[in-house]
Amino acid sequence: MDAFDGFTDFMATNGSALSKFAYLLVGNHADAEDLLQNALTKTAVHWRRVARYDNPAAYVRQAMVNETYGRWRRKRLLQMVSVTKVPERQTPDALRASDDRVDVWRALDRLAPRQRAVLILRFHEDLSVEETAALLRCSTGTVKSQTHAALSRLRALAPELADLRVS
Amino acid sequence: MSNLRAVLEREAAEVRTYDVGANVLRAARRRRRLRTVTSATAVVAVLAGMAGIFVTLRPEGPTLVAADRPATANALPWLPETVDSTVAEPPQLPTDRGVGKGALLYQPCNQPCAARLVAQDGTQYTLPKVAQMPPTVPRTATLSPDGRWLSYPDASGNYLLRDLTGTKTMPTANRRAVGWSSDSTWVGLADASSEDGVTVIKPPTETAAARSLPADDTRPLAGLTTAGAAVFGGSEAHEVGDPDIDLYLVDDAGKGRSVPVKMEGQLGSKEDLHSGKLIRTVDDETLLVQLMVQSDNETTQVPGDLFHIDAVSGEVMARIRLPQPLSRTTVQGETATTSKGETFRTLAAVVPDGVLLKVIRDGAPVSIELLDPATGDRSTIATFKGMVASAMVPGES
Repeated sequence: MDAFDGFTDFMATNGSALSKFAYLLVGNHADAEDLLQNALTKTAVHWRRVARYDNPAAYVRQAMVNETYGRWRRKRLLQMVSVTKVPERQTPDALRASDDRVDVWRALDRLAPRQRAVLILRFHEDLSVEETAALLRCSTGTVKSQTHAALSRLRALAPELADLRVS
Repeated sequence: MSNLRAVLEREAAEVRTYDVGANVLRAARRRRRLRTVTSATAVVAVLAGMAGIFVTLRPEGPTLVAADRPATANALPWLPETVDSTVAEPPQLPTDRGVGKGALLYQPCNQPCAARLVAQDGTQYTLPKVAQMPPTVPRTATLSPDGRWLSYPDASGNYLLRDLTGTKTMPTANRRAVGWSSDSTWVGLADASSEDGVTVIKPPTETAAARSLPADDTRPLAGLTTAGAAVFGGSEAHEVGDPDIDLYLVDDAGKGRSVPVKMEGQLGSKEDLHSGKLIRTVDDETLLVQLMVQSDNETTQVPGDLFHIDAVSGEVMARIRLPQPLSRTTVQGETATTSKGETFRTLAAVVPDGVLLKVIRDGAPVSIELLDPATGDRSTIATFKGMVASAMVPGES
């Protein structure tokens, strides 16, 4: 039996959803593609084990979330070293017609990775508080507080989002 | 009106499926081949060793130190074997005379209850009850590893550094002790509310030197070396995705450098290394880091095994296997549901005698153990009698 039996089918079935998730996590296509590739490679290496899980896609999502923490830290370190030039903010790849969309997107880009991940898991992936906590390996209380903090921060970052709602 | 769900949905709708399949399989096959070769090398080395012609082909890896055997009973000259919290209200810590070195600090009830100092001769003293202090600011008293120095807030919430063998007291304003060198020569002080930016002083001198992190970095202090260098704790590491942590060292000249620690392959599926709160310096070159384990009910994490890490090279030297944490058992009563029995050991401090672990059961300390990190031998050196909400051993911050 090949160590990757079923993995190609898994990618075909989940590739689209995982690509979207990666993009929402990091906000640009280059980093999203890189993030997805790394997470899927780790998954493939352990595929025999992961394939037995109830939800292998959750394993990939968890890998992506964890990697964004590391990337965020490394990015911060690089920014700290570079004192001669203030790095420009990364902007989303696509032009957007809708103002509120741009506001939300820019504000999301300024959240800490865990807060951003919580919002995306809950309000895009539609995971429950318990499911989000299990994926992020934290308590449900942490998920609730992070959600509250993230939404408050979004509204604080962009006053025009004062009426931001999540329903 | 902005709708977060709608915005995320619109953004996601425009994302094409990234074509990474071929690259993923190629990279995964390469990694599996590498793992197979490494495993085969290890097998060859074992077989060669069995044949009496041991050849060092085994890949380098951390040593496993089994410290999960039952603890023996032991006693240390500086620590009472039983800390009794049921004693009548102890007298206030006197300011006009020395009381001798301290052995332990504890709180008999939850804050704002006044903390108590247990001197090495067993006498207990009550520390000032802080009258007014913002609730977010810790009112934490700490002892130096040798028990001589006590950092504590007075009634008005201003911190003091007190020599317990005499009467010398140094006001440190809103800065509390957040770390000590193992020889008690250096103390790291940080703003009690933020703990950003650490200054070190060498009591009883009051000359301060900054040990600064890069701007915007907010790592906790893991400890100080006997030379006065600061080691700041690592970030988070997980088995999946980001298995590494990085430490930040600021030497006695104030120069900083990052030390990456490769944890890949060291963590289990339910294990994480967190933001550095459970990191302690062992000596001038090594650290102990305690990992967190997801509980069986998968909603909380409790401290688990220790890793002994070379802080200079970032190499993981050993994994010290502590007794498995016990999960809570939920008991459905007639009027309420209670959870009992959660037990784990938390890395408290490193003192010249060894590593001090606090045994926590149902959220409260029940005993203190001494661990020899080289042999894994554990011994119970003190137990608590009566209600104890929290306890701090010398060197803990």
